[in-house]
Amino acid sequence: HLSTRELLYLEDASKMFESIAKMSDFAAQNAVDPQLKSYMQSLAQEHRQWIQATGSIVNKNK
Amino acid sequence: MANQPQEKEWAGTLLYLQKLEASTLCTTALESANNQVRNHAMGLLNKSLENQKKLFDIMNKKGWYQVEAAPVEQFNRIQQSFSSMMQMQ
Repeated sequence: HLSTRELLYLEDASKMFESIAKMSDFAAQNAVDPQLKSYMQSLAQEHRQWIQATGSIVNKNK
Repeated sequence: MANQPQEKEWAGTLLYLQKLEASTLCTTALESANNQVRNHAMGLLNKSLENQKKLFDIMNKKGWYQVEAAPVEQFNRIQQSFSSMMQMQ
């Protein structure tokens, strides 16, 4: 049920989520500031969920 | 704190990535004919904007991202421009 445009944008978005998850994971592991560390941990976890949710949308539309 | 310069850099990089992410999600929503894809992109866009604001607030409080008020002359010029536009309506 998905157009080429929709598929490519979803793929682009997921690659972006992956970059943010990796970068925030790194920052969470290395940050000393507790507030920043906590923020980065949440951001990484949320973006991993977004990758799963976006993949599910593609799968559901088959 | 020993790690502060690196932390500022990591935060700045993530703020930049979140701006790109919001832009990508906005375009995805605009270009989606499929309602499920559009709603998904809109939901994530709102969350992305909230995340970006939280990070900006953290950086701003630490003095890592300061925002200065515009010069008075610039404010007055643009306010005058708005006054003209509003009177024409």
